[in-house]
Amino acid sequence: MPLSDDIRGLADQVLDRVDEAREFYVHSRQAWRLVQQLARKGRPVGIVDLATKRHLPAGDLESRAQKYVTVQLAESTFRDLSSLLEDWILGLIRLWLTAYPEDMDLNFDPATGQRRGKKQEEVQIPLSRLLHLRDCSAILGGLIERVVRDLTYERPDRWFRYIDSRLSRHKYLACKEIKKPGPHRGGRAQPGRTTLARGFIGKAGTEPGPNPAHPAKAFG
Amino acid sequence: MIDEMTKDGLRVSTDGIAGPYLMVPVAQLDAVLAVLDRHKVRYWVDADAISLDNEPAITVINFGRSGQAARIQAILDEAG
Repeated sequence: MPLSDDIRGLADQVLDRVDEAREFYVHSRQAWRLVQQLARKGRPVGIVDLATKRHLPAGDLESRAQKYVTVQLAESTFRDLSSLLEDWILGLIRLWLTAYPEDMDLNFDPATGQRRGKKQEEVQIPLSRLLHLRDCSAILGGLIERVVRDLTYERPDRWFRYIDSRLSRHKYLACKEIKKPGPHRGGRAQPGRTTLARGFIGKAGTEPGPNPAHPAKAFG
Repeated sequence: MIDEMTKDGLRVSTDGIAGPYLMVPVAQLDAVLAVLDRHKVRYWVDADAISLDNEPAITVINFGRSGQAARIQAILDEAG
């Protein structure tokens, strides 16, 4: 599958989950606001613990609802969205490195097949894991997983710098080009939808990569 | 200010963690926000309103953790 399709698939998955998270937040907020109004109007709320057959006191539902909506619910939704951002960015890095594994080493010159400087780029992978992997594709996959796992523990700004440093190696994805207004010029961004022009994503999968043997196909 | 539904004064509720908030009928929202804006009170309004038993819909104005309930209540009382 071309890289562009992989990226689009990942984006669709993540966007579906963003929509789900938003719906959960909105519906939960509405449900708690309903409870808050019932409590404010003094409507009796009966909650029975089926195990003990006891009526549970409704307690201070009005102020609890306020706290749940503006603090706990908002914070947990934010955490949920943060993890989606992580899945999206790290997933993108995983897909990119699968397509261009040489980008794991910024000092590697794909034109000559040689390293440019003396500085070694190291990825540590346990020997037992390496021995378990039988072919080159599997070994590269293991290395990529290791890189992505290490990035997981880094701050998000490092994720963006990592992506930027890799993508900027590919001239056809130069930042200048991405900054230009795309076909959506003048239009408003759709909430929760990326504004990255599809043309750029297409280019990532259709332009020849530095390595003639496109690794994405080897993993396919 | 008077709550047009209950005919009582608008009451700023407080919660130690969430901060103060005000439940207002949607029909009165613009008038209440105008008063708050005049006094440079910071707030955000829920994106939806709830209507019970076909009564006018009510929404919530949130003042956040740094909201000063007593000051906001005084502003609303003063506004008549």
